Amino acid sequence: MIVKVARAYASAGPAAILMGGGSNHWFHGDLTGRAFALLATITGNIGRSGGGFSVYVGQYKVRVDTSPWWNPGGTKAHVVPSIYFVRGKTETMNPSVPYPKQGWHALVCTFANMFVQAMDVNRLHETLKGLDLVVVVDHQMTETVKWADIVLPATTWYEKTDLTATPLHPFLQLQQAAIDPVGESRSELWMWREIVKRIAPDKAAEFFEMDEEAAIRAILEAGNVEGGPTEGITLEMLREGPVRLKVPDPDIPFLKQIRDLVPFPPRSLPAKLEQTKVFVPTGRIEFYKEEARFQELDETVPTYRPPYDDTVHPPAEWPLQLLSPHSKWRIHSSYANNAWLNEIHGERPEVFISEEDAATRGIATGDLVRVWNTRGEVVAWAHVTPAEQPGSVTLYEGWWPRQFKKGKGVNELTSSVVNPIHEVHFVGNMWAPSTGWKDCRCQVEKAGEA
Amino acid sequence: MSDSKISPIEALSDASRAWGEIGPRSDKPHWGMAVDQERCIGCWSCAVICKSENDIPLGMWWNRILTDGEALDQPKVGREGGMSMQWLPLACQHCENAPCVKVCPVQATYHRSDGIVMQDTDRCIGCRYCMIACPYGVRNFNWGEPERPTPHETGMVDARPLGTVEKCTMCVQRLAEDQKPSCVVSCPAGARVFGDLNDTNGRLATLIREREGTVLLEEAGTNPSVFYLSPRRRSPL
Repeated sequence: MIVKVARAYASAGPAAILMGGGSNHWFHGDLTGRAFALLATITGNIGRSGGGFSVYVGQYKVRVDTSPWWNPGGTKAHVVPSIYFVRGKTETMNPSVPYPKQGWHALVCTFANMFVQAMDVNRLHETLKGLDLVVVVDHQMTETVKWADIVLPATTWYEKTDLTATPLHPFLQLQQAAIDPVGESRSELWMWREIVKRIAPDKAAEFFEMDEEAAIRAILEAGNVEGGPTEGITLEMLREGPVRLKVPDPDIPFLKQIRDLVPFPPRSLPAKLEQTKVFVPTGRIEFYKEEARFQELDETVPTYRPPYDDTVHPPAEWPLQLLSPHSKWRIHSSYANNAWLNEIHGERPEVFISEEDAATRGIATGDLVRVWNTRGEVVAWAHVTPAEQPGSVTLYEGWWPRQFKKGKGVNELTSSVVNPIHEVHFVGNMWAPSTGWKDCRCQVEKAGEA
Repeated sequence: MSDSKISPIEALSDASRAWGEIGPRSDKPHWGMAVDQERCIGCWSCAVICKSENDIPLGMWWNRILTDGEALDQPKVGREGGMSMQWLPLACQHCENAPCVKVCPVQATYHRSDGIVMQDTDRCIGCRYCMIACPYGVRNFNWGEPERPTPHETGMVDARPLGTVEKCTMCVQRLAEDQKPSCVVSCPAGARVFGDLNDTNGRLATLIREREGTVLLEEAGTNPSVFYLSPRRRSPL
């Protein structure tokens, strides 16, 4: 099969590689990515319509410039990868990571369910012990909310005003509140404004004296120039319904894409050379990385490395690879408490295991099984299936701890180890530590009848 | 539709409304549907919106997605040892020769003139003959007081009383506003095509003809109004 795929890829005309979580959620995922890029290059698939190498991720881009509101006065957010919050500072951490000098003292968690979704969640609980304060903003009683000293009740999307945009179509929409906020809930922007007013009234006056509508007006105004994306678009127009942005759609007409080889869509093009020159100093595709750490670790060219967790959990003793992909009926841990979706999903977390591995352990579908490694353990229900490869087990991420028979969820078992190669440079969201979610060994045994 | 409920269709923008419009039909429509198994991705969106639109309690589905595989989202061993999986969205087939209509002793199950098989819960005595007669297993019985995730009723229709049978109505409340059933408009893969089977040159009839659409359990002689289009899978390798 590998030979077939290789031949088809190299000879069948333009061929694209889409890299997803299955291949990059590994300690050495960077080597896989570099190998994919190299394949695309040596087969002439770079700069070729229908070819290329893309990383498959969610949609994080919008067609309007939100910076006037996001970054008032040219301010910039300090971003530290969350793995350093879970694990603390590493010896090899890049000096340009804005890690707090005094360490971590407080956690304000919003739009996240960290105590379910963070890697190596027992290690996160170690960080938690050192904190003076945990504040969680949410509109659901998540696991994370349960660990909070202070809970700020957020409004749902039905109770607040927001602006909705996507790269997938050219319309801008106003999310209008259908009902008033229930109980004491407030929008997040309201919370920040009130907190800043109390901590630093001068900053509040400078940056935070705006409600949602004022922020939306500021964003619309920024693009309200001749030829700008929001030229002539007002909040009042949005109140009436979706408004088409003044952007071409498609951004690049199909004919231009195939005849003139103009790639689509332009906003997904790689970052500008000035941004990437930190880690690509030549400005060209670098098959060979000559920075000292690449030489020390013998990774100057893409090469094979066994999964890192094999060194923590030797395969002879920990024979199963634990995979934790997305479920179709949630978005990560969101909607894990939705009654209708849980009816589809069978109400309880299942551990998918191959017929071979189940047979040697005396496990049948429906049995309670213990899944564990040195980092933690969970107890859930077995599902024996021919779809699972012998040597691996699958447990969907996103189930909440309360849905397990025992344990905090699959991320008790995942690792927070940082690959020092990922720390050679630090450019947020481009060259930064990633998590080897799938780089995780475990053992499974029967825990009793269900 | 209940007086106490407001049609969400009224709140739709013109564009959304246009997207849901039924479109061309003959002088005497017979409503039907084609389900394209090549396009279905087994997401259950149509089943969830059906629950919402029709206020279906927990534990009941008018519309569900059967997996032709090992389990819910697990493929089975298929041809040549490879893995295979496809989906079969299943709801009332709105049969022309409907066994449920024949056996109902009180005419609570009946045909509308447009081919839709309806259930009159005021007449239903809860004998469940129809559930035994239906070869597709798509009818639900209200064994207890309906349970919902929230205290609120959802959708555009009245809740059904204890001890009655209920099932898919092709969203007659939407048809009355010239809108397609909710499962059809909600399908992210465009796997459901709704239309008039009597409009012989219309999109639905043409698609069924060209793709050689089949019905479930043809041997039962029920003459369903729902057709299935088989996948035409090709292997790239």
